[in-house]
Amino acid sequence: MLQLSAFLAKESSWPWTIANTVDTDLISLLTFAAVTVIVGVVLLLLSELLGPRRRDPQKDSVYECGVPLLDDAREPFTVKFYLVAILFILFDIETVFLLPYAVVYKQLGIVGLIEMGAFLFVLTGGLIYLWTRGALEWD
Amino acid sequence: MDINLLWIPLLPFLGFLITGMLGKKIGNKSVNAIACGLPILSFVISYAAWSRLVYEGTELHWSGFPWIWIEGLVEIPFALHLDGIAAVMCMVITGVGSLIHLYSIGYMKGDPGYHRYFAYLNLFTTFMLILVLGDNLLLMFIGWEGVGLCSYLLIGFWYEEDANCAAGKKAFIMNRVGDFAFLLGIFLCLAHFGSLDMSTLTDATAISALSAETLSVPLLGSVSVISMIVLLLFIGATGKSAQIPLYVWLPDAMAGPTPVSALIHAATMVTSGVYLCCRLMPLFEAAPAILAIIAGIGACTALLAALIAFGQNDIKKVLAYSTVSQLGYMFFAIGVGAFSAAFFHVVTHAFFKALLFLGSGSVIHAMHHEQDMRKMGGLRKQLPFTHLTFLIGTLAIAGVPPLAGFFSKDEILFAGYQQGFLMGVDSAALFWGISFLTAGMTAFYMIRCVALTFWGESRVDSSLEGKVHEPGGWIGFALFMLAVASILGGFLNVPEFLGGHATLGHFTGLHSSAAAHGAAASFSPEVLHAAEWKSMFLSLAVAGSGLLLAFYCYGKGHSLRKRFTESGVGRWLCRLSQRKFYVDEFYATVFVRPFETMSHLLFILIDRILIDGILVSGSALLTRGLGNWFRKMQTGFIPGYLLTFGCGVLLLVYMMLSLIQQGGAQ
Amino acid sequence: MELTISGAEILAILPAAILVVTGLVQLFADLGRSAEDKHSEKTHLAMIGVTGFLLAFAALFVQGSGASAGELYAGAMTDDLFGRMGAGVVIMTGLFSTLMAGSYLASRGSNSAEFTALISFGAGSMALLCQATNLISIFVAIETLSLAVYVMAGYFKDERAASEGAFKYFVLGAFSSGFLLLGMAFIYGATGGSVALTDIAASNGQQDTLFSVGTLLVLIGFAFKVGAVPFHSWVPDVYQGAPVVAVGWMAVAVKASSLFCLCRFLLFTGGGNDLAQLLAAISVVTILLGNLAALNQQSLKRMMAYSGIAHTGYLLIPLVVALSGDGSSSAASIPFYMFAYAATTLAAFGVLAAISVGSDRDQVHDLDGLAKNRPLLALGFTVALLSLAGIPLTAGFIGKLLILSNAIQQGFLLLALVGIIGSLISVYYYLRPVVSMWFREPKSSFELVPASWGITFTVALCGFATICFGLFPDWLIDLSKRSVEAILG
Repeated sequence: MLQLSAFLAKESSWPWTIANTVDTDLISLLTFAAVTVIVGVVLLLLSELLGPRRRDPQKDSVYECGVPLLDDAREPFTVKFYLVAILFILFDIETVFLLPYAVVYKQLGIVGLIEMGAFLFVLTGGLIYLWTRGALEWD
Repeated sequence: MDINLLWIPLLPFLGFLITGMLGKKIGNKSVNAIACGLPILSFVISYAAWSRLVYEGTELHWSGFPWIWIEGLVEIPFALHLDGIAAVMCMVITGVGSLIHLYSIGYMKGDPGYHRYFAYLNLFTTFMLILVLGDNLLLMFIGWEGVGLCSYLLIGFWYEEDANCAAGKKAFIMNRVGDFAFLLGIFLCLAHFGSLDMSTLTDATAISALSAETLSVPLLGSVSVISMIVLLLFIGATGKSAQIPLYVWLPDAMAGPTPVSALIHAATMVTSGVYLCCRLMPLFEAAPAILAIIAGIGACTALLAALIAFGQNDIKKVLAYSTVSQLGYMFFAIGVGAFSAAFFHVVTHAFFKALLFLGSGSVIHAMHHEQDMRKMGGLRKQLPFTHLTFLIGTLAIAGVPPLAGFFSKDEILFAGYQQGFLMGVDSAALFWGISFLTAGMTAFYMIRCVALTFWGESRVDSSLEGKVHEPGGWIGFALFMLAVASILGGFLNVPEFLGGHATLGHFTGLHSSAAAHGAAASFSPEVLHAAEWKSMFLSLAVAGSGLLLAFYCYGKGHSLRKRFTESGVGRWLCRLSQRKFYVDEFYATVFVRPFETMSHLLFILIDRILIDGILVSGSALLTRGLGNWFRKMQTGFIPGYLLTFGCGVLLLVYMMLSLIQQGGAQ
Repeated sequence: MELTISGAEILAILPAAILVVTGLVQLFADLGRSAEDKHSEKTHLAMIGVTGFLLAFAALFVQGSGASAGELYAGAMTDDLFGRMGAGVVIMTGLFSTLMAGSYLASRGSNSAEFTALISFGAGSMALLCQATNLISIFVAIETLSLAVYVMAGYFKDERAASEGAFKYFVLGAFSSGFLLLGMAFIYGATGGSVALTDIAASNGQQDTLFSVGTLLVLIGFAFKVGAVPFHSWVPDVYQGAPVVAVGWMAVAVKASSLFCLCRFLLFTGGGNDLAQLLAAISVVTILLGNLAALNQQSLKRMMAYSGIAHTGYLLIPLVVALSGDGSSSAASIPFYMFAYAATTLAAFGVLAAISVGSDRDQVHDLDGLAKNRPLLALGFTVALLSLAGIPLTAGFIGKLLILSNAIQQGFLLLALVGIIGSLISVYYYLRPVVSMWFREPKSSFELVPASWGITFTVALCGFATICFGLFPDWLIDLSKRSVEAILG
């Protein structure tokens, strides 16, 4: 409290008179974060404390242009999409590694080749495993 | 051959483990073999150790291992040491102990707790040997507590009956009072000697270095450290060895099986107080004021117990009070500086008192657990062998030459006589007088006991008619062996004026007490010998008159007895004796009841209200409330978790920055 | 630039490599027979796993080239005693978890192949984490181990509680990784671009606010992994839903590897008094909250979860002491405590696995009368609980004794007091199952499937080890001391 009043009285002491030891940028960042959180919490609390609570089914239902709801809008995707997406990222990363390697493979020599081989081996092993398990079949 | 002292206590301990854990499985025969065999083996080893000591003069030592060890501050090893006193005690414990083990085979036959009984007995032997062999006071204390525990377990052996349990508890609690003082004594020793080793505590230079130091004690003012230590140790001894004021547990302890009474409450455990004094002889001698107190307490205990013994009708109670009385003798001897005589009496008493107890056990066994002498009488015919051995024991305790008790008791009385009349110490003269009277009374009440049990008309219940017969086997064997020991035991220490060499005294090193030196320095051998003769005749006379009077009263002169008991004073005295001088009632009013009231009050105030109410329930409520609160914080929703997480991070970073700020400001 | 690799470097990576290969072999060995024999125990997988773990353990002994810090892989790894001890805890834990996993999962109708493979993969990354010495390798190891553990937490994917726990764990884990990474970035910036711990220690960045906050954020990342308050919220939910064996594995291995790494990190970066104060605050709150929240738990798994939180609090005490002033040798109690905690906890979770074989029993009253039906299990569990409570003659007692006596010697009386109060509280809830097991009558409906040999073996051996560490702690204490000296140089 004392610090806060000092801050209010003397603007040059911003913030909290610790400018000499702490980077001002960092403090402002932190203050920003704090304000964000505090505003969020305060709003939640206020609505929780002040808001009237009279519930009925009509009120709890999802609002959709006045038309009665047919279905939940948040329908889950089938997990297969995610699987394909993950595999895509995985092999994307493989490419990300392989391309730079192609540039410097001579300099890296035999050790580099072995390391890259191990990388590809593990990756391919995973793919084979998935394939055999039937994870790639789409039905 | 090297003898490891550890085996002596270890063997009975093995017996305890085996019979205690496997007793039910291996059957009674194997229990017999193990529980009796191992103490006998222990006896053999003790014998070997003893003969090493006799023939080679080497005191055996087992240096053990560091036990409580803080370098330079407290260094207490777990070590055993066998000197002359310990060797004799070991022989007595394992020897008499083994006989009593064997006796128990016959006595306890068919008891449902058979193996439990032998396990306890073996455990007792173990602790007793640790007590005797321990090379420092703390180890001795372990044995001291251990035998107390076993005593408690065995007194309450037939725990189905409340009275037995109560007797066990009484013994235990009474002993705790003494043990507390003992423990304080140990602390004092540690604080002032810096060590608990027997060699340090008996070291003349160490003792004289401390002689000037004093302690300021509340109520007593400034007391010399040595006196305080000796007093505390002696109070400890009064507990275990049943002296005034802590003797009342011993008669109640007769609730246990009779062999237990013989072993623990007559021959061995109760003499450990005397053993403690003998072992620390130089220390005790350095506190002459306390020695005078010891002599007084010993003599008074001897007299009081003998007076009570007159009025008892339970055969074991008579023997119990005679034990208390004889223990009083021993402490009287210590009080007048005759450590050798006291220890001698420990040994002979072990023989004849064990014999008497086992004889009474034999009677009780034959009478199907009837202990009231008013329901006996005339048993001489049915139990001739028991009668004979019991009579031997009686004559031995009465001090009839040349039985064991004669020599030891005579030596004690002479020591008192010497200090009282030759050296002119008034208090000693008074206490000698008391002891002297007691000697006559001992003879009287022991003959009374024999007469009521074995002589005269049979008053045996008709249902037992024809069923009473001599128990044979191990019981007879044990009686026989102890009878022989009671007859010959006195020759261990025949005094020099009778042509002996005081062998036991020399062997244990107790003959060289300061009192003996003092007498030898002041008087010529002729004067001393004349005094010894005089004292001997006096004690013979008093014992003889006690015997004769009893023979007369319980033989032809029963009308005299009747007239005495029916006269006003006589009836009053009998009543007083029967009710044990109301000491139990006195203790109950002065200590027990106020204590109970106070405990109850404190229970309500402290336990119920403060501890249960405020501390326990309160703190439980508090912690439980907090716990519930924490548990409720665990809502299970991810946003909530993230919020906690984020707030935690912010809080920590904020704290970090303010800490840095503080650091920068300084 | 020619890339070379030295013998010591190969040996350093060997345990992790062996474990990864083991995991692959386990996966492929199971390919031949798929769905139809889901319920069989698949002993061969356990055997592969055991062989792999034993080999990896053996590989720890051929390491130790005495290479100076920052020498191997340009400072990304080390093969010092401290790291190897951490890897040792992890590998032994993995071994026992693999032994227990087969029968437990088979009884729940789950495929154990992927589970055992996940243990192996996870163990590989944890071993790497214990030996990692630069920010990048630390981060990579933490993330890989986390992935394996996330999957294991949700292994019963048809069960609500499992999916819920795993999802929470994943989300919060990602959140915490963000802080970890941010902290590392701060440190990177504050030290002018160093990632290796030796370089960080050598740079003069310690006085910098940026550096301090960076260290704090890294600490927060680790605090999440070990379940310190206030970053502990995931622990009970995850423990509740995850397979018992996975919980045991997480409770020990994740905590051990993270703590070893955190310890190394803090010993290098210093962090100073300020960080020590914050850590002390975290430790106090963690001990109190963990113990208090455990008091009223009826579910054994949740109880163990909070007990684990409380033990994290105890483990932070030596770090506090080590951070402030010359008490750095007090960090030596961490390896010992981890060994003790590993043996104890594995024994406890072995029993939990045994009673929940074929069902989902984990309530305290499910233990009623266990001593009559299964004395060995009851004995093992009792030993484990007593050790957790810190009763003498057990490893847990020595561990706590080391930690608290060190704290007291260095003047952290308040911290030690909180530790003692926490222990006192904990006795209550640790003894509750003991009372249930020994003094209650078994329920008539209580049918116990006989535990598999793997579980019985684990309980027996870990219970035995708990007693052994408690009776003969000297060599382990000595080893721990030397290992910490090895880091300090």
